[in-house]
Amino acid sequence: MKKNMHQTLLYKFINRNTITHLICASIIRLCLVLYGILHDQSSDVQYTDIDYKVFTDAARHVVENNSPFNRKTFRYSPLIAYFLTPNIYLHPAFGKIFFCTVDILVACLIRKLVQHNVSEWCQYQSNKAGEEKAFFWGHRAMLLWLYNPMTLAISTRGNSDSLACFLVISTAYCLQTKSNPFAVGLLHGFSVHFRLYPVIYSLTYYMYLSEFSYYIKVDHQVARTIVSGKNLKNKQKHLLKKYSNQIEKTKTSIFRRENLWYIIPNINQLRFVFGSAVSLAVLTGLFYWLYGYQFLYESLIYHFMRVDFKHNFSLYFYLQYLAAWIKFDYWAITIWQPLLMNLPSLILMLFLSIYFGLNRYCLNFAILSETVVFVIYNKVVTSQYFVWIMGLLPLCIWQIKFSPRMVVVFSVIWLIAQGAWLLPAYLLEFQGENTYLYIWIQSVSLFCAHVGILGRLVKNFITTMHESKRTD
Amino acid sequence: MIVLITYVQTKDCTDLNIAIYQKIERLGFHREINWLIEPHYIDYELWDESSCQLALMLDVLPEMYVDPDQIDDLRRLRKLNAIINGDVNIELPAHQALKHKVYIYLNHSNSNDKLIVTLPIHLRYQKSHFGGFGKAYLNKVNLLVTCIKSTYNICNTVTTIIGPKNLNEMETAPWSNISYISDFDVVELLVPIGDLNHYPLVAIVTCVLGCVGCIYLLSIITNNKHLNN
Repeated sequence: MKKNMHQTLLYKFINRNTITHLICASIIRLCLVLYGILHDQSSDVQYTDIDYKVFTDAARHVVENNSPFNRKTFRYSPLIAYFLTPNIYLHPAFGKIFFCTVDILVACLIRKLVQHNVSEWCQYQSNKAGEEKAFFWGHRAMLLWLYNPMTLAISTRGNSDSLACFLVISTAYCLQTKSNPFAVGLLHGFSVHFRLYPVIYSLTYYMYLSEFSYYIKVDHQVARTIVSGKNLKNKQKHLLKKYSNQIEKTKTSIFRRENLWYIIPNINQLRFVFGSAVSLAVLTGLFYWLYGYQFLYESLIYHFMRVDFKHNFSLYFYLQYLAAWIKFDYWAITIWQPLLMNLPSLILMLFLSIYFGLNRYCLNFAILSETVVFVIYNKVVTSQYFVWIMGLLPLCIWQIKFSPRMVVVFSVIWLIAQGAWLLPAYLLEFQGENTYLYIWIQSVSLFCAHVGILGRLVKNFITTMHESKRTD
Repeated sequence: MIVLITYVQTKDCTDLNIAIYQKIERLGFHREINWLIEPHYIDYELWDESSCQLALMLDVLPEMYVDPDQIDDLRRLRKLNAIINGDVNIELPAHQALKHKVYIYLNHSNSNDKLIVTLPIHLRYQKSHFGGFGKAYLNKVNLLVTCIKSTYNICNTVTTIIGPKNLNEMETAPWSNISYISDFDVVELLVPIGDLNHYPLVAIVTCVLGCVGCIYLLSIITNNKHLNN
């Protein structure tokens, strides 16, 4: 009885209108910002993220007409320092309010994009309940972002990653709502300038704009037939009959020669590439002119050369630490090790970009899975990186067939894997015990958990061939 | 912060008779140095007249660092009047880092309470070797005094150094490095270091696992019935 009452209350809350949720989420964020101010005044352990202090110091340098890169460890776009100059002349918490506002905008964007995707999908399936489904999934996706404890903490602690999420989702939205490819390119270039990691989506966006990108598997066969020069219209029925046989063939190989045709650009792809290049070149040129080589090094080159030997969630941390500054076998250290460390993620990214990028209903899932691969294969992994995943996960919830039980199981696995890593890390960092090997073993477990969860996501991902059997 | 000073006036100089006790708290990479500064005698009038300023100066070796952001926070919270003299890169390992100095200013006061000063320090990662622990040496802190009135001549001056006069690093002043009563010397702190014996196992498992993960994910994607049917 009591359980039913709680469930009813929960459903009542979930089903409140969008405005109510936006106001409610804004109030929670405001309260956390105020709590952060009070907490920081009285505690040595700060609620505010250390990066926020870096941004504020960089903003102070900008206000004083100096380079934001005079602040050590400021390795971001100078735009962040510009955006946060009111921290200096208005109030130190301005930036947090700004990030929280962006958070709310991200929620609106997620809702809009999911609604667009679902209604387009239902339209394709001639599903009459399209509008209803679109509203349902759009609303759920928005709530997942708004009330996610991680996103709540990130913005209110003054981390700028919600801004990066906003730019990535905006690009995906513009691309899928058939905006001008040049404008999409401009946005993508801006997004890459702001935070380097969206560069991994470039090939996916490029493939999405291909003439051969398709909506469903049958379309894929059509596209491939066009590529191989066959007359599709006359053979379409025949092709459809043969379809099931051909599927068996497609299973056997990953890379096919005719896929190379997909790389040859069409006019939209050229516009996109040109737009990206223009915005990236203009912003890079402008800030190079203003701040010189220091800007190039801190905001770009450093991220490519970075080797972090301190313990972190990455599978590769202990290997990097052991191999750093030690003269082992030249070939092992300089050739094989970097190759084996970088090749798996490169292959996966390339494959995901082409495989999912070509399917027009998979764009969101493509960038989600690429982000997961990028994070779990990264040489440095911190909790902050999981926010990039959290921003994209809501976009795909309507396409991933997980029962509530599975969601709980995977969440628990992930939390246990993280917790198991944190224990030896605590003993090393705060108790001074030599637990490197144990941390590495837990990093291995965490990596396996991440790979397993990503595998499950892919397995339960409903693409475009069949109407989902999932009940709303 | 309050400091109690004892003056024993002799013919030529004024003797500041101060005892400092040191205790290192916390373990691991993040430690706290606590200094208890204790006078043996006190003459308030003489001390009030002196306009002298006391400070602690710690030479921080490359194996450890004082975090400038943390010092800023402590200053903001009025828990420590300190500045760092030198370049601190908190990301570097011990063998690539440089040493720096920390000046902690002790407020001029005539109160006779004992004074406790707490300074957080952080140990740097060291090159991996064959396991166990590396060593990081914590130097003995220096007690400095500077007096505006040059008529005061301080006894037991070991050396005179030029250092920041106050929290504004631009202004410098000559400081007398004076001896004090203590029961500690240079302290050896231990830092866990990686074991190179693990390298073959770690290298093979890490690289193989990365590749296996890649193959597993590719096989899942290409064999997914939802994707291919």
